[in-house]
Amino acid sequence: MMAAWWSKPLPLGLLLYALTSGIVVLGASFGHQFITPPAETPEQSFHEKFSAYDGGWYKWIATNGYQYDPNQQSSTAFFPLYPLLGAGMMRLTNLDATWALLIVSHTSLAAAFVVAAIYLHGRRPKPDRSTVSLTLLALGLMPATFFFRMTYSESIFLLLTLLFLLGIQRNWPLPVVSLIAGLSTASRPVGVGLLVPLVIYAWHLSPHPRAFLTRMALSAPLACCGLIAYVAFLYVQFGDPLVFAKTQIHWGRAAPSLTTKLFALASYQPIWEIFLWQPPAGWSVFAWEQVNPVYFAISVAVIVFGAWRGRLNIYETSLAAMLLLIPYLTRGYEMNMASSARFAAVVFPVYLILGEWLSRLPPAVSAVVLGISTFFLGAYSALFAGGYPIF
Amino acid sequence: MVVSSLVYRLIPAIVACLIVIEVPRLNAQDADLPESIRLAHARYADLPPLAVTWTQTTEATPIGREKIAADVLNRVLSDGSCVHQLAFRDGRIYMRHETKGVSSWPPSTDEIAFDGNLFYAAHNLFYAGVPRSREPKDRLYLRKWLLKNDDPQASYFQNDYFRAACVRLPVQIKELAASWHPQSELLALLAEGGRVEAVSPTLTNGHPLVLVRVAARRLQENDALSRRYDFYLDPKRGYAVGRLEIRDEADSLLSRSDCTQFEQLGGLWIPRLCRVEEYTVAGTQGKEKPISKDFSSPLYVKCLRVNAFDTQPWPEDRFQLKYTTPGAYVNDASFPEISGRDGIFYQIPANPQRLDEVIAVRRAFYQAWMNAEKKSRPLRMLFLVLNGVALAGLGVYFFVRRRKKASCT
Repeated sequence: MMAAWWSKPLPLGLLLYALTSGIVVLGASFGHQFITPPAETPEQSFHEKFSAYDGGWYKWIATNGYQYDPNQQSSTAFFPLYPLLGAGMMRLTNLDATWALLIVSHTSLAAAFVVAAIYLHGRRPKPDRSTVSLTLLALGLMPATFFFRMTYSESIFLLLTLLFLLGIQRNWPLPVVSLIAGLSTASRPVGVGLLVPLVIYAWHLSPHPRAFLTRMALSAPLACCGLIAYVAFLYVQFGDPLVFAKTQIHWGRAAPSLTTKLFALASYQPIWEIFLWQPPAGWSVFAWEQVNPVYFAISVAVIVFGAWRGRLNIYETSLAAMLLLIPYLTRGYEMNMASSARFAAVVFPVYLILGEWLSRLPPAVSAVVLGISTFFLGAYSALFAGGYPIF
Repeated sequence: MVVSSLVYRLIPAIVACLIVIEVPRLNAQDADLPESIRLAHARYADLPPLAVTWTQTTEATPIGREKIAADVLNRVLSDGSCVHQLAFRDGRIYMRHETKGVSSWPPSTDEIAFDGNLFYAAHNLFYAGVPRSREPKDRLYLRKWLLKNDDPQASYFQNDYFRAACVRLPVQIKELAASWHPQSELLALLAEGGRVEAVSPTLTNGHPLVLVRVAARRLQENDALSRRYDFYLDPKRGYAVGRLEIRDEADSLLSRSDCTQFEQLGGLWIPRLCRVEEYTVAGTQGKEKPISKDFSSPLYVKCLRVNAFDTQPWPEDRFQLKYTTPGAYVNDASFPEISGRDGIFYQIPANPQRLDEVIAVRRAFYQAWMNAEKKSRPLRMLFLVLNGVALAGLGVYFFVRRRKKASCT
């Protein structure tokens, strides 16, 4: 009776969210207390340690709105849904921007765990209880998921992709699913990746091609509403709807030419080139510039396996493919795969396969695997809070 | 009393007569520059090592505020009132630019120096961290790079005072790379192919001056713009330029600079005060475009007032920027293995004895990166081939599977 109660989506999701997030908080606390930052940084309170790097941009947008300067990095690179919710939370609670954004992140993540549990229960073939738990544990303990607990937009994006998948699984009306996709395009640029599974969903719902075209004509604007609203805002505010993309040139290197970039991408150069270095500090599993491409490549391999062996349905596969391909093709070369672990962390279908693998392993072995993952989750959280370049 | 008044009134006429005698050809087309003027201006090359500090203020006129687009006007007036210092010696050059803080924006100081080999650029505010544009760290940021690695057309030195005073200093990299010395603007234009169109005496504000009209072509990006330069030279001050007017091919006035309060330095008359009226404004593409046909009033006016002349030659190391303040950021492209303006990036450590170690580690990173670039070429080809093979294999697989399915049905 007790076990049955705990295995219901709401308590299970919330419990695993709380347990796994506790590790991140402990890790960050360790980093705050004991890790000496590599560079001189101003004194920060503990909760401010959760808003380093891009998290700082969201904090600034929530407080000051958007700015654009063609000559330097600008906040227009960061999509508005998450900082908007943060600003709303600031007004509601009178908390500072970091606390407000952390509340948004953690509420979204807790909700994402619950939605993931519901989604897992609805999958066919229906997974057993341990697979559901292990999938959720993978979602909470994989090392790069510590970003879900920081002032980053990943958690809200994860929640939206899960709602999107749940909507498809439960045959929600197309406009509702399109609206969720539209919201996701307001949260992160890769939100447009949801359009591919949406098109497939519309195709499956439509009895004939004409009905499909009609539905898509109505749903496509809804599915892009977040992006459309954002570019309209940018046009009104800065006179250029594309400044969110243009400011990207200030991050990473510039491709010498499109051909060079295409050859590099086709030969997976952004993934392996970092390993041609002979870093003076040596190789390290804590050097995030080395972790990023490995994490990304593993995620791709997991998705390829899942699709090949029929463990992922067409929606999950297409969603995962788009969420991995879009950042790789657009910014992989320029950014040397920086942040690609974080981008891969929101690809929920990866956890479906990992959960299944873990459930097939002997319990002791899966416990060891999760234990190692937990160690890295805590360690990266500590390094992030300690001011190390983990992004 | 009457006699002295008469003499006073006759002085301009007497001077004008003397000029007429001295300047043989008046209003002539393709006139020659009189030898006396040429000799006087050739002495600019002998200008001794000098450091000039001046205060520069820029104000838009009512017509300028009306005609100039807000963003361009903001750019023109961005510095408001600022203090400049420019020093040169034996091919080395140094510039300092200080602006006062305005409202939320802190005071800033820029320094640019060239020691004959390396360029140095420093700024007291470092735009790192978040947000970059609104909360700069009050921290030194120094860049160093080799002259040979820069764009020959690049230009970093703001020499508004010297331009107003018609003293040509090199500003572009290609000019600095060559052996250089100050020149008179008039002779520099003639050396670049300009021709003297006319030489005539004239009276300006009751002062007898010599007008030298030069037609020259000014190179700007890919265009050669025809310009007419009217130099008003003061014969009483060694033919120093009292006024310069620049006009375009349509005879529209583009700028007028008036220099006064002359002081003798090393035998040359150098002004202490210059007022520059600008009738055009650089467009968004950096090209000068007359934006108004109403040239009755300038669009904006620059006032350049010299605070101090320093004729003591600066020691050579003052043309190098050496920042050792802990926490200062350095982008150092002064090493031979670096081929651009961006080099290794480091922060001056709290313990200065660790500086060499910090630099060595960053250089090693840079070299590792460059080596990786070399090694990546064969690997890239290998992966491309493997990709092609994998794609072909997939194609064959699907083709065979389809054939099998078809044969089964």
